[in-house]
This record gives sequence, C-alpha cells and structure tokens, in this order.
Amino acid sequence: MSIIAMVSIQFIHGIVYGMLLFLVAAGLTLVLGMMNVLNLAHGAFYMLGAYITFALIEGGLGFWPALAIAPIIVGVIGLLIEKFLMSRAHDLGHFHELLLTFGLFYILLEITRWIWGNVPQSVNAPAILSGSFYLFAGEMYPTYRLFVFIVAIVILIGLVITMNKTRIGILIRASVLDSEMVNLLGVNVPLLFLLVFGAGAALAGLAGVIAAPFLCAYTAMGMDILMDCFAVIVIGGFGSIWGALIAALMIGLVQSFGVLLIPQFTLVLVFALMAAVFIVKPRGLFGASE
Amino acid sequence: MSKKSYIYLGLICAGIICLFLVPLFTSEAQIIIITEMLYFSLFAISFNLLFGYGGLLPFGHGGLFGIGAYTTALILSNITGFNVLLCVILSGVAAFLAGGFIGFFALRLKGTFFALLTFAFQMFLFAIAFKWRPVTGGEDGIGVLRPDLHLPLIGDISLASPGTFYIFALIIIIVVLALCYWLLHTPFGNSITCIKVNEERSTFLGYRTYLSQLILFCIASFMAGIAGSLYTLASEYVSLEAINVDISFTAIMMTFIGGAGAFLGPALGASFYVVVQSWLSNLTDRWLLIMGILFVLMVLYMDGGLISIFKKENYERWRRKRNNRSAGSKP
Repeated sequence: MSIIAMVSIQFIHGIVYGMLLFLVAAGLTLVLGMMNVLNLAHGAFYMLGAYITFALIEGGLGFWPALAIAPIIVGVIGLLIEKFLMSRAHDLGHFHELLLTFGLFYILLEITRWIWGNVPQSVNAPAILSGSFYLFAGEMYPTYRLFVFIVAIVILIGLVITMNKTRIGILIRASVLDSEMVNLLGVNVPLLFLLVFGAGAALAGLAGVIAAPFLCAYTAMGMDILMDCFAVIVIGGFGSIWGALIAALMIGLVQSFGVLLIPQFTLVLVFALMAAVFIVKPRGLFGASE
Repeated sequence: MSKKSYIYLGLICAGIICLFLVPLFTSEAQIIIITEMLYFSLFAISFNLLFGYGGLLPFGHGGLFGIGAYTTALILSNITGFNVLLCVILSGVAAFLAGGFIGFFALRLKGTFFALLTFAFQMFLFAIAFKWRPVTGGEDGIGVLRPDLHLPLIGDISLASPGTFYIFALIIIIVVLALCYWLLHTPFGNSITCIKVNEERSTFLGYRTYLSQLILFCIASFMAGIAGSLYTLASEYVSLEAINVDISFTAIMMTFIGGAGAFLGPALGASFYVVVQSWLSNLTDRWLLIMGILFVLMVLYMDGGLISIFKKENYERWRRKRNNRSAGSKP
C-alpha cells in the first residue's frame, strides 16, 4: 500500500470517528452550556444505545428497526433521569449534580454488566452495508464506515437547521448565553432543558447504535467516549455546536494518525492537543470569552 | 480547653486504645478486613481534605493512591533490604510530587473542569501503568513480600503476620491523621476554609488562593500516597486495580456515604463500605450496584452522610418533629 493511500485511509478513519464523537459530544456540550452541568451519564447513554441494539437484533428485530427504536428508548431513559433525579439536584448545587451524574453513570454501567455480562458483544451490520467499496485505484474501504459518516452528516445538518432556523433552536442558543434571562422572559427553561437533555441522550444513543457494528458493544465504551468528549469540550469550548464539530474532527484525526505513529500512547497526543489549546485559549477555540 | 473538648479528647484516646487492642479479640481474616478499613479511611479522609475542607472536587484522586501503591511495589521488588518505613514515606513523597505537578495545572480551573482535568491525569497514569509492561507488569501487576521492619534501637520486627502489620499501619495512620488534624487547625487550615467559602473575598483579603490550594492538594496527595503504599503492603500485590477509575470513585462514595462535613466522617464511610463490601460480595456479584444506588440516595436525600446520625442538632430536630406530631400540631 502506498504512503498516500495509507495516509488518506487513516484520514477518512479519523473523520468517521470524529463524526461519531461529534454525535455524542453535541448533546453533552448543549447541556453543559445551558445548565453548567457536565452530564457524565452521557457516556452511559452511548453504551446503552449499543447494548440495546445488540438486544434488539438478538430479539429478532433487524438493524434498521433498532436504528429507530434504540435512540428513542435511550432518550426516554434520559428524560426520566432528568425529570425525576437531576431536577432535584439542580437546587443542591453543581457538585451535587456532577456527583449525581457520576453515580448514575456507575449504576447504568453496573446494570449493563448485570444484564449482558462483561464480554464484548459483536453486532452484525446489515448485509447491504457489510461489504467494501472501491475508494480509489484499487483501495477498498468498508461501506459501513461511509454509512456512519452519512448518518452523522444528516444529523449535523438537522441540528444546524434546528439551532438556527427554528424558534426552539433560538431559545436553546439564548439559554446557553443566559438561561436566567430567558427564564425571566417567560420561557419555560426547565422544560426546554428537559427536551435538550432527552434529545442529547437520544443522540448519544444513536451514536451507540451506529458504533455497535464496527466497534462492538463493550462495557468500557462509555468511559472511553467520555474521555474523548471531555477533550472535545475543552478544545471546542462549551455550548458551541461548531466548536464541538471542529474539535471532534481534530480528536478523530489525532487518534487515527496517532495509532499509525505511536500505537501505545495515542492518549498522550490527545492530551498534548488539549494542553496546547488550553494554553492558547483557556475557554476553548469557540468558547465565549468571559 | 473547655469541658466539652476534654470529653472529646478522652473519647478519642479511648478509641485509639481500643484500636490497639483489636488484634487480641479478632481472627486473622477479620484483622485483614480491619486493616483494609484503616487505609481506606486514610484515603477517604485525604479526599475529604480537598472536598470537605477545600471545596475542590477531584475525580482523579485514585491516581495518587496508585502512585503510592506502585512506588512501594517498585522499591520493594527492585531493592532488597530496603527499610519499610522509609519506603512508605517515599511513596507519600512521590505522590506529593505528582500531586504538585497535577495541581499546578488542574487548580487553574474551577469546579467541573478541575474535576475532569484531574480525571484526565488519572487516565494518563492508568495508561502508563497499563502499557508500560516492563516496569509495571501491565495487567499482571507486581507481587511483593512484606519485609521486616528495621528500627534503629529496637531491632527487627517481623511484619509477616496480619496482627503486627495492623499495628504498624495503625501507628502510621494515627500519626498522619494527627498531623493532618493539627494542620487544619492552624491559620493555614482556616485560610483553606475561608477560600472554600468565598474565594474572591479571600483574594481581596490578601490570600494567595492558588498557592494555598496547591499546598492543600499536595498534602492530600501525600496522604493518598501513604494509603496506597499501605494497600500494597497489606495485599502484598499491586495491579491496575490500585490505579483505575474505580478507586477514585470508591473514595468519593466512601466520603459521601460517611459524611463530608466531619473530619472522621469519611473514615466511617470507608469502614461501612469495606464491611458491606465483604459481606455483600459473598451474597451477590452486584454489590457495586447497591453501593451506587446508596451513593445516589445519599447525594440526593442525606447530605450529611451516615455521621450526621450522631449529630446533636439532627437528633433534636427529629425529637422536635416527633413532639409536634404527638401534640397534633403541624410543624
């Protein structure tokens, strides 16, 4: 394989993983921007998406119904958590919220281990997506990763339109800037937050569904993606969709080329990138200045 | 000193004497569990030093525990005849230095970001322990033997039996905790609380808040390192379990279950945790789930933790409520 082909394939790998990461980080960054809560349970939503897909496919439903059902289930779990647990912790302060989401992450992880065990579960992609296609001059590329990319692009376009063109999107952006003021103007911000929380959970679930066939469903996946999401938020600045997109792509590329250069310590590279951004712009590339 | 504080002093002395007498009345298996309670108490108190006193919430405190544990294992497995006491202290110093490095960066951030940056550092340490197989043994870990304790005037004392090791660990922990308690009641300790309550005002009063917090972070790291070192000595083995994310979460759970508002609250939480763990893990594999649920309930409904049961005002509130109910009037 020539150098150019190898580099370009790693490049596409990086972009695909970056888009997947973006799906998870988008919900997280919006929740963080609106309520100043870093929802650690978000990683667990992603993991649940993958495991529910596995269960649905085992149960006889195909991949396509699972793609529609699993995010809805995860979204409902997210809504219930916000409605009955998180909303209580909002009055207790940020540390309590953070600790609560950490506790919830653990509980969801333990329940997953209980039901599905510790062994990674492989999920088969549908036949139409399981082959490869010719990328260029004799280089093959798995179709499934292209599918992941397309789904992420569709979601991205949907998000951008929602955030910029609809009333609810404008309200969300206003709440990221100053949720107290929006609340005073007569908007039901807690309800809005509930919706964003649920939608974010569903997006993380969707990312879990489409990640399942090419990364497997395993119990550490939540923690893995959470670490990357944290890097995305530090680099992108919180509450910013575009920041999350750019940062997710950067992390994806750094990881895929890092595997090529120093396979043992890709984490070091992500770390170095984070440190560099942190020194130059402490509030992230797209973060609002204080 | 007032009459009340004499009573407390007496109670604490009685408690310490009881702790020294414990090996006379218990079996070896029980003494191992009690030793585990001790070093986890130290670890949880070191976490609470940051959380309860300093108002900082680190998610990566287990990384410093791990540094202590691995330092001890590396010293004992590579250098024969090294003094155990010196080894424990060196592990603390190693964690102190690492804490200084981590704190130097992490303390520039506040709240959630501080929590996550320490967490990221821990992931980093975990990755080193996991991947640097020639030194850390990766998933296999390092086995060590508990060497004899050399004391200058008394001679060699064998630590091989759990009973003598318990006394050894107990003395170290009491000394460290006494120093820590004393430190919290110096002007430095007061300034830490002052910064927790209102950092902006403390700055205006002339405190260098960053420096104070950094010192506190280093001290808490030192204590966590000592706890980690005792962990390695007690189990005569160290593996990834000592440095992974679960160990940080264990400290947070112990602190919250026990109560972050009192100096010995986390110790109560750690003891409770270890006992329930050894009891529940015989019954079910899902004891972590039960602990997680208990933790969430504590965060949501019982802020003071278990130790608040012993607090006088809670008892009085409860009695008032009961009196109101019996009198038929609404509170």
